[in-house]
Amino acid sequence: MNKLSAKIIVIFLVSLFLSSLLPRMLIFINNEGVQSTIRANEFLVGTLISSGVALLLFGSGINILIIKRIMKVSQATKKIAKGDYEVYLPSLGKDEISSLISNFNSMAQTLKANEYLHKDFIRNFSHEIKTPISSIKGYAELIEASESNPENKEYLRIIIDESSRLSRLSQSMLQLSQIDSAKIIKRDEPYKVAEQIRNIIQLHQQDWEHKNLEFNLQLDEIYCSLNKDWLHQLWQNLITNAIRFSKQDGVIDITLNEIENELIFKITDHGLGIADQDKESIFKLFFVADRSRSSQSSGLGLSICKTIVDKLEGNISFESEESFFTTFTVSIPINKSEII
Amino acid sequence: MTKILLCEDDAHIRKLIATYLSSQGFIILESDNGMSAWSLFQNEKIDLVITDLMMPKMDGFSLTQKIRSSQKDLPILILSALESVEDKEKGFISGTDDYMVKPIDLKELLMRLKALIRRYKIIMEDKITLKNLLLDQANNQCLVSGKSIELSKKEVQLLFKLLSYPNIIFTREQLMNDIWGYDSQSYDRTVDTHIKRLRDLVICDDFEIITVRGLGYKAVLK
Repeated sequence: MNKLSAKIIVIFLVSLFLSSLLPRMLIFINNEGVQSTIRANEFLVGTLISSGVALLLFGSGINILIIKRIMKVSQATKKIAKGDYEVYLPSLGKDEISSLISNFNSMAQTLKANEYLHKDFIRNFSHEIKTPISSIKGYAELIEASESNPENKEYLRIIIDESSRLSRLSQSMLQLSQIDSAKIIKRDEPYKVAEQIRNIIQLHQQDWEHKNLEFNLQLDEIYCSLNKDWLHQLWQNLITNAIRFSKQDGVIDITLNEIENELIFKITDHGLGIADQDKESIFKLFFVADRSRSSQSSGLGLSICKTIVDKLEGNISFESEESFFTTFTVSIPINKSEII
Repeated sequence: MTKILLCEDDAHIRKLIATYLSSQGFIILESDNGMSAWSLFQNEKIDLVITDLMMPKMDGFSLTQKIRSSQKDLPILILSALESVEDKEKGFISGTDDYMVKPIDLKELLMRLKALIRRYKIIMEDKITLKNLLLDQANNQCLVSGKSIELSKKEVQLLFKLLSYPNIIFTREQLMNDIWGYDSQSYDRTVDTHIKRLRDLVICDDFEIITVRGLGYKAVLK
């Protein structure tokens, strides 16, 4: 049968038929005739029971035919929303729901294929562009190691620094494009955000120990299942900025709380601060506040942060006083019910 | 002389690293794909493996897994253009000890290799010897200036871990995972208690266990 409505009618008729069996049997068994049988109380009870049975039969028929199948599609949709495209629903029959299921399967396959294409592209491009840059930088370092002429040494240093810069720039651009173009935001298994932040601080131990910085951490133990890669990038960019702009022997304050279903991350450094004239532009692509630092910074860090926060439907803001402090505040909604 | 297996499919980069490391006194065995690297590994006595990730015939993840399951302590360093957290995680899960992102600093590569080799020697001997301290993990012994100190197995392991990576900060969670083997809750003071015991019992001028506020602990050699 190709139509759901036809199937529903069949189930209805079958249920009716089966439910009429009991009263008919009662009439058949009772020798006192149809009228007296009908008037008897047992007949009323029998009719009620068989109506109940009919409803049950009809209900389970509809449940199996329609509700269960739709629930399966619904659950599969949740998987897709998480970024898991490895879903395939077996489809039986040829009715409208079977149609839905087979269309769903095609959609999942297409999404999967697109994702591979894009991910593959990013990975390949990353590899292809970084390999020649690595050669340029590496051979320049080799020559520099045995070069005695100070002028040549300086030129080689410039080649080395610029290739590093090019590499960082291309990596940042790729990241930005990947985040920007993401249509479905992948979720991960719940993890501890505080530990993620501590790990990032560990990663940059050399940089902040070099400046003799200290961290003042007040991190609540919050679990979340938001895209791990993105949050890592977000915290990392903010933390490395704080390190870079801190003065020697400074302190960086970081707090992490959950307030009303929102993750609130606040980081304060007591360093250079942001000049008033720059405040409007700091999230802009390629903007670097301190011109002398343009060799170190690609100007993409905060743009990436803003893109990530926007995609996660959150908010990023800052407060700053030049030469005194800068505080960045990020708030991202975390919907607890989705973690389960 | 330390024999290093270098697996990298780009000829220029392979030559670059081989030239540099040879000049530093290492013997380099080169390969340009995972499969030939694996055969080389099985036929030679290798002390350390450096591998790229994106390679033909067998990628770096598979090579790392194979090597790790064949020799559980051999130092492996991944050298890759891939920078994502996902790839790094995959690398570490496959069994690498360190992960450097291209383009690399040759001097930094050298430093990390030396640290890996130093740690490998420590693991091989299972002992840490400082001026006044002898810490023997296999026999659960701790001697300070010749005097034996009674420590539990976990305490020895904890001290061994911190001293194997001097100056490196470890979070409480990482230590719980490494030594006790499970995830701790934030109220779990197990690590703190053991650190306190170590500080009280192992009084030695060669090192100090420092608390890094909010982060964890590190051992500093004096």
